[in-house]
Amino acid sequence: MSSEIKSPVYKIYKFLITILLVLLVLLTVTPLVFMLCASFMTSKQILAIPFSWIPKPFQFKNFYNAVAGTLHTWTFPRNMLNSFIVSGTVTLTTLLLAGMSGYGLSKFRFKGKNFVFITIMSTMMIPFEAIMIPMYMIAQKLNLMNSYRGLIIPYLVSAFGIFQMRQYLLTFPGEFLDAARVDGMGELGIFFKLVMPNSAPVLATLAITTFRSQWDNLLWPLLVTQNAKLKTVPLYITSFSEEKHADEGALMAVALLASLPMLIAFFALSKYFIGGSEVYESRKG
Amino acid sequence: MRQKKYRGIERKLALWGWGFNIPSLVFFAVFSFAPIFYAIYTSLYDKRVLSLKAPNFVGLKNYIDIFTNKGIGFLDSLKSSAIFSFGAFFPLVIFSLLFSVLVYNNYKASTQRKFEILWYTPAVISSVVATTIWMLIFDPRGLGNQVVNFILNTPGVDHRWTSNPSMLRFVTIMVYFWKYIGYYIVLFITGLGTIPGTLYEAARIDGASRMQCFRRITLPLLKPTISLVSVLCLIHCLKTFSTQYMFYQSGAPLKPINVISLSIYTTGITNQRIGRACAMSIILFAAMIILSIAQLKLINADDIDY
Amino acid sequence: MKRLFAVLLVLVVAAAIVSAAGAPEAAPKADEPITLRYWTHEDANRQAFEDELIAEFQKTHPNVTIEHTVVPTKKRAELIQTAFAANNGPDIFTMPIEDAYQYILDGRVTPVDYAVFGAKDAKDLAGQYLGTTMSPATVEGDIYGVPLEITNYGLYVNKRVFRDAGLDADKDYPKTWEDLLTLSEKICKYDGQILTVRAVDFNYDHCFVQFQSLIEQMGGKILSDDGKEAIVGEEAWLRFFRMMHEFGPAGKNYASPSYTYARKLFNAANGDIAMAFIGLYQVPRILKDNPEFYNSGDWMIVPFPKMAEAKESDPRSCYLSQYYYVNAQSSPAAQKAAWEFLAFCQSKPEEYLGRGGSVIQPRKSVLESAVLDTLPYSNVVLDGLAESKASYCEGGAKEIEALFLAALTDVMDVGVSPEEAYKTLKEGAQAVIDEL
Repeated sequence: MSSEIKSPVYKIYKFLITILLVLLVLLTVTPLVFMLCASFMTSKQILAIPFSWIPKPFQFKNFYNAVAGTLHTWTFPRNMLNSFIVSGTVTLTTLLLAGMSGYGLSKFRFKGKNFVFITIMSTMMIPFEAIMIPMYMIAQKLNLMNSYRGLIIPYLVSAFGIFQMRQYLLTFPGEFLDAARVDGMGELGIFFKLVMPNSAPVLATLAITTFRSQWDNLLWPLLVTQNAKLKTVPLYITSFSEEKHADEGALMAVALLASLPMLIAFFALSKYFIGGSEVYESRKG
Repeated sequence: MRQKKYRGIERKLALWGWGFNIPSLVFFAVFSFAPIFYAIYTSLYDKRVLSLKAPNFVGLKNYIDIFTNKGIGFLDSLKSSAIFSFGAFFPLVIFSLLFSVLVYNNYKASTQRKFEILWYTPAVISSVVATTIWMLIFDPRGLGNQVVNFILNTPGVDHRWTSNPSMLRFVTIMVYFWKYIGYYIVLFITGLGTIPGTLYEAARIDGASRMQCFRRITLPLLKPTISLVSVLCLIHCLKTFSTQYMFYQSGAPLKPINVISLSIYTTGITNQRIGRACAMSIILFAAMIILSIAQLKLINADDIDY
Repeated sequence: MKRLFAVLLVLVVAAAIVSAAGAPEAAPKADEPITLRYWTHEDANRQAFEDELIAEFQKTHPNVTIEHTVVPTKKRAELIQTAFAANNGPDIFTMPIEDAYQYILDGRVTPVDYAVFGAKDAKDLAGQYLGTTMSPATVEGDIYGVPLEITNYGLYVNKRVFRDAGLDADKDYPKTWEDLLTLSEKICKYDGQILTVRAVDFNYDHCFVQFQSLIEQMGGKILSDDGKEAIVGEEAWLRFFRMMHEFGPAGKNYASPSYTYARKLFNAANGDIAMAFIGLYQVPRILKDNPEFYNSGDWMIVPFPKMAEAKESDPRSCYLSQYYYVNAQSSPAAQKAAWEFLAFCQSKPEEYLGRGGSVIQPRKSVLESAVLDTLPYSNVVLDGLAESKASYCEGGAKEIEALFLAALTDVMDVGVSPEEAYKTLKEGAQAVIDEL
């Protein structure tokens, strides 16, 4: 992409593309800027006609209320910690297990492979509401209620993750694997030392999406945890938004704070999944 | 002698293939297959969630009922789901491909990162909050009306975002698009990274145009990612729940946005007819499997040759 | 083949786990320590108060431990239902009667232990409470719950908004539903089609409590007396839908379900809503959210309006009721402890009315409570309660209420004709009743 001739046609083309991309950025970002501004406003200002983007005055009280909670119980930090523990652990297990399964499904041939693939895929096609009750019963039977393991174990790996890994590893150069085998590297060695390190882009992407989806999980923690000490961030947000009076400003503040960890994680991991992995760059085709 | 050796290696590799999959399979057996079997089993009974009596076996009656009994509204749900899914699926897949290619090809990595982060941020916001933000925007007094009226120079018009059925459908699709476009763009960019840059260089030297590069190199080699995105997108669209649920809870009419998963929810939780809800779930499940297999076959991504 | 067999084996084992799950726990013996799980919905003040009650109760009953869990209100129904479906329901829980009705019918909750309350039987127990407030929880002669709160709406009035419209709230407040229409015309302000100031808006998420009384005053009914026909009295219902059509954006554009609920905006007193239908619990919240407004004397509560044609004897409004229930699958010892705890809680209606969440627990003693003096206009609400009846809460109540809300939204927002909405509602409600 670097050896481009800057012809006039190209300049116009790039200009048009930039406009298009910026439009999408505007669409995506405007509600978020709204959220940012609204987190500093009172409800009256948020719904004012005409709407003014600058809060006057800056309501820092919203953030205080957001973290302190309605009863000033200060549970928000604890909820954040719980969410971190759960989402983080689930992400790690998913990376490992999805990596293994994706690798097995893409780079090996065995009888029933397609059957296994479709079966795994089918697990993401059933709505949660239909399996809510049996999952609850299983969790109860396995003594998972009201504990961290109850939040983590039912989500050790997801079909989405396996699918992503498989599709990515389909394009992984098979000759590197064969070469490693000829060199005498064991299968596990190949997996951990060759395949995984060279799959940084997909692992980073998978980490982000898994972390995000666990962070956002409302229904399962609701069912499984009654102990206030174990509750996660979505539960906090739900309680906050159920206030009998409308305090949209504080809710936006809660939203902002709740999204920060995700945004930071995304920013940190993004350098891994842009630009492709070395294994692809280094191949001479 | 040679044949035996080949069989030996093949067998060993095949066993490893299974081996790498066993942990996930065991996990799924307990936490997915067992509940799915339970759902299939329950769909054959007229089970009420709270009843302690043994439920009546009704065989396929639940399935027949949801298709023939207009009062249950399942056919309307299918229609709402279809409208929503088509309305969301095509824009999401096409635009995510388009934008990811445009960004990947024309900007250096650091700018790419900035674009991606901005596009991805909606996905990071929790669903409860995302809908609250949009409800505030589409409140009759909110930004939605103000901005549109400003652009169209029609002061004071209430565009009835959440009360007019067509507008409501459009709004749910738009909110969904906003939330997930970044997610699919990220998937595509990861996939684009698997195409070696050297191929493009070689093609350039041979005088290929951008369009030809795209059609001959990018698209074919991107097939695994394209099938990933299109299957995931369709499944996500068919499974959508929280977007519609939140709008309904905030006072929007139910019928235009009563997608299948919402219907399953009301049937199972509000009306407590879990047998019927399971039947609806199995229908959705079957539809998704068929559509996914069809898509995978259509795109046929499994053989990639360089 | 061997692999397939292995996979199937795993699946069978998993299925076995699932089918074996769900047997209730074995009952503990009499003197063993008892743990009661108490699940209730969110209310900051009540939660703090009940924690105190629990501590006190645990002191006098050392072998009992009560785990107090608070769940989000909107998710309560599915959470408790899932727990019960797995035979793992809480020992004590609170729920509105329409949601809990099925629990009673399916035998998931036990009748009250009358002796613990010092009553001989159901009738005796009901006599300890105001009027007919125990009747919603009475099924076939047995009472299944004790009241957490009985909520009837009063009409809260923001006098400032009346003044802005050139009216005097003390004289011009609405006495009838027709008044609401005329007042809306005078008070509502617009920016084109968009309402910037509303006179009143309704509680659409509790439409029975909001509208049932006025439909009945017009001669309609939700369920016929013999329980066979739904949505009786076509003329009354059509008149009702036509009136709501007039309120909505398709008519005179005074109110709509798509605006923020009035009761959420009232405390802020931003001048955007003149009146709201809210229960008595709102009074201390106004003090907490907006003391300046509370102390300014610019608000008041007036009685729930009646139709102009209503008779004296017609109930003025309906109330919604929430009760405490005890799980039928808990051990007998646990059940007894649970009722003892609830009897203890029920002995404190004044505190519940005051710092315990301002909920009305209709014990007869509450009418003489001194707390009422600290809650302005409480007499208006309690007088209204005396003139009210329970909203429809028997079989199919929730489904019919959902259909009713859909009909209302159709008539007001979507622009469906009242005749068509009535027809759809009647067919849907009749199907629900027939399936019972």
